[in-house]
Amino acid sequence: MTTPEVEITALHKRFSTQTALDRVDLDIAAGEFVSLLGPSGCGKSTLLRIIAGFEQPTSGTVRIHGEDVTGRPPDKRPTNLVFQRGALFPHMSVRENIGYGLKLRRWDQSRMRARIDEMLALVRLDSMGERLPSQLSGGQAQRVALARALACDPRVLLLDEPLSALDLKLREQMQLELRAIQRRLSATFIFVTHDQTEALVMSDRIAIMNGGRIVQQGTPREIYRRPNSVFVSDFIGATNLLSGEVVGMEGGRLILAIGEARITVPADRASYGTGRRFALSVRPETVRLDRAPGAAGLAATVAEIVYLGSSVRVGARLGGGQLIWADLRDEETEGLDIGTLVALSWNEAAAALVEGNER
Amino acid sequence: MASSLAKPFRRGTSPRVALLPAGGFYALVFALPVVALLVLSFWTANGFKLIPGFTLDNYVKILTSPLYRALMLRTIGVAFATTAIVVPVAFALAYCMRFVFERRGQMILQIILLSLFSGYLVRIYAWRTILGKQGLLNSTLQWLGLIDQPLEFLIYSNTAVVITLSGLLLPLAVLPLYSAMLNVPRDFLEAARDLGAGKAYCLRTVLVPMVMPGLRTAFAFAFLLSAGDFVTPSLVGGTQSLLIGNVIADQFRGIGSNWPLGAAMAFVVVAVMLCSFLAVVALIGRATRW
Repeated sequence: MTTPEVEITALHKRFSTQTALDRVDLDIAAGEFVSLLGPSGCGKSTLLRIIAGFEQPTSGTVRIHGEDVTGRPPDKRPTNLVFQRGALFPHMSVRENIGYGLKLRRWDQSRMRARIDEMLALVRLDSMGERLPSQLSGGQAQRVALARALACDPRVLLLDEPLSALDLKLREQMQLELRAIQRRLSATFIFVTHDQTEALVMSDRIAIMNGGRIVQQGTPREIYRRPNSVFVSDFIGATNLLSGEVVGMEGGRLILAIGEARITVPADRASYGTGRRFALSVRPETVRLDRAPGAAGLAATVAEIVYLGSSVRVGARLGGGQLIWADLRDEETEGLDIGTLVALSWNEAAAALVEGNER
Repeated sequence: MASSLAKPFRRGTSPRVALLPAGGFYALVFALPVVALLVLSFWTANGFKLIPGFTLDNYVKILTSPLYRALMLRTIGVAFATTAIVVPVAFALAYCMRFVFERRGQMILQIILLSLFSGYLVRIYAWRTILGKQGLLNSTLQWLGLIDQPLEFLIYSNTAVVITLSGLLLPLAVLPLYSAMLNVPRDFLEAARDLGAGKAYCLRTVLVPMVMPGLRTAFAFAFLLSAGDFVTPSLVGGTQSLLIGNVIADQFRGIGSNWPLGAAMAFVVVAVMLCSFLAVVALIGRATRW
């Protein structure tokens, strides 16, 4: 394998009383779009700021393109950062903002003008060059911030929740745009967000962080389908978490007791001894609901029906009292009412057995 | 409903109406006395008697007299020296309070405000006890064996005036700078560093332009207040450190007073100080253009 563009090794960061990062290792390939995803306070911003050079790690190293940059100030690193609120210099025009880094690199006037034009075209703001940041909308300001950071042609572009201040529609549009720009430049992007949808939409790979550690990394599909912990399965998308105990083994399958119900799941991991507690993560869109009397599955009673437009979310209560959500198409729910007796089942491959206790 | 709440006055009239109380007060206590003084500066005086009229004699006298010119130059010199000390120190202090101490900066602000509670005269006398021949500074230096004789220039000199004025005006210059810096999120400085700017370049091209209004106010406090002061030179200055303010004050009290001449001097000083002020502000503006 070729050397990763960004190599983070055993990174540790302590602030006076608390540990912000705990032995973080992460490799990022050139041209990859990686999201650092996690709840606030999970250390994702600290990690980004250490890569940018604004914070010094307590121990560990950061290498970029094979070169150890730990300890280098931000102005001596081949990275550029897009700030959450843009941080466009208010006393400079859009063009001056984009040209700030180029001027520092002593580019001559004509080359600089061409580069600024190129950047403005990239973010589709060709006619806005002479405006001041105060005359831009939120989305335009973030595009200029992106153009300013990309103008210096960084090896790695760092983005610190750059879309979080925008409204939903604009955010969705900007996600696609950002992704398209990243593909066109085949640049390396590290994107920090707390929004799981955003991470799923944009990333080649997601690193999920919690409590200063990377708890799982993988492609969006891997993370969504095969979460490795209760935390991840709960954090990414909506899920039903059924906590249960292993009560036996039968032909390579585990028998799991969930309340009074028994279900079997494939034992694809070694250490599932009898008596251990696990949670089964079942995505609502994989849950089937059968009204035929005597149908196979867990017996439940419909308790909630939530109309969402494109789908209907139905909550059915098991005998033990646990509510399981199923996302159904509108026509599948005709005649369904609160109190209807149903049998719940799901595609076995779509359910993931995860470690960790119930919430 | 919301729109009716937002418009307590008819469109167009409201700003003017809202300006009335402040504007009226300003007209009464500032504009009126200034106009009166301006009129007075064209009159003449005979002993204590004021003779109305219109003559430029007072101005001619001021602009042609070598004594007044010397005083004026010394005043500008002292004001510039004081400003050159106060503004950089205040900027550094405000920077530390805002970006180094962060939340604890507020505590330093309280201490600075507290120092303003001890009156103006008290603080000048305090500086006298520090700078005096047997003062704190001289006796400490002698005790340390660094000097044999007390440093004479520390008191009753232009140096003493500049040091004392700097001490008096520093808190006043810190306040506007600190409050301006509070409005600059750290992001802006980091963005500059991230794009490749060194610390000094980042200060010059980002922080200074962004706190320009505060810097201008700090500069105005330091420069204009030191130029107009006459108590400090008379208490810690020597015979050779009288400033134009002392002479103006003399024109308004006691024997030999001449109100019209004093009024004219006041306007000349205002004009000169305003021009120097604008020149320096323009210079800073040019120097920080990135």
